[in-house]
Amino acid sequence: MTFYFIAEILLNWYFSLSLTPFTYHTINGVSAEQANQVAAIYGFEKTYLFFLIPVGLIIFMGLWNLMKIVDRTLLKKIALIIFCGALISSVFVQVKAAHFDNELNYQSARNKVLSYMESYLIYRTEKNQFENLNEEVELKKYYALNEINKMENYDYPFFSETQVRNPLGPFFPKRDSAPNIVFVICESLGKQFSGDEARLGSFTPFLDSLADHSLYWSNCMANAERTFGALPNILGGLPEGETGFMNLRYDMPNHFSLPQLLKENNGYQTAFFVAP
Amino acid sequence: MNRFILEKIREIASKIFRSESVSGYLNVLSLFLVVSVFIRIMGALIFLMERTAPHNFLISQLAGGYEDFIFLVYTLILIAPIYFVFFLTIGRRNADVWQLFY
Repeated sequence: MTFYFIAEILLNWYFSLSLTPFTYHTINGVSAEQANQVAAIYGFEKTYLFFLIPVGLIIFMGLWNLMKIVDRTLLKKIALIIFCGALISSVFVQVKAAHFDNELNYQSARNKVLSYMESYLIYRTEKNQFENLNEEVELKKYYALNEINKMENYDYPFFSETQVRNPLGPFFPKRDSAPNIVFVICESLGKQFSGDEARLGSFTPFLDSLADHSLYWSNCMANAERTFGALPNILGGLPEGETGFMNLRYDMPNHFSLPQLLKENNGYQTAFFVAP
Repeated sequence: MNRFILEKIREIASKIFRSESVSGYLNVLSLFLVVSVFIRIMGALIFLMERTAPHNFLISQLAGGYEDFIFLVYTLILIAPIYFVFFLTIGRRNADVWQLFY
């Protein structure tokens, strides 16, 4: 009970600061060093962990004494009625996202410990499903979906003569000189802060105005767990995989990236700017 | 005949609910439920300290309170075997073994 008490309060605190629930994906593949850095951003120091022991003891003693103060007989009767009522109603009623008018209300309503446990179970289930897939069957599905005639060379199953259509080509007419290419990547700029449907109101009026004069993907999928994982995905087409390309660290393989190819083969100069 | 059966059921139920093991289990249950309400209120207050309440926040917290109950009810069903094993072993010497679940 004490563990549940502390865990639920801490997870509520995290949600209040970040407005996203703390799930298994939040820490999966994150090193202790990275976790410390993220915690420090939210004002949480490692030394705070020492306070958990006395706080836990206080809660434990509080619970111990609580039952001595309250009328146990009445409490037990109420508890039993709620227990049976909740058990029966849980068969018919469930807390689902569709029952709430927005995502924020849904996530604030969720039991945070349950939410974390569910995320872990979903992760395990999906991982098991993925690991038990028949490689040959899945590859055939992939070839059929992408209209690839793949008859041999399974050492490189994703290598093939490209037959991808070029729907974006007409938007980029050929010029005499190579165009400048600028990538702007914003840390933690989510849909809740930007665009017409921003849940918390848009903080990016200029970017929003550009959307009317640009190619704009309103349903773009997140391609990494955290912001720094977006860089290899966007610039190198390197998938997130299990823990993210950047987390491979010393095991990182040689790889191609767009800046590298532009610089070596197309005469571009490259530069990387970062601002806090 | 019906009255006799009802009396018997009442007698058995009374014995079950007054037995130390079931009584202790209900103590744990009632404490879980009381504390879950307390935690829900604290969670909402923590949120309101950091953020402005969104529209329909109170209703969502009531729905959340319901989910807390469901979660705790199922947790208690899951821990029931552990609880009764504890009670039947350590509990024979100490009737307040249910307090371990604090």
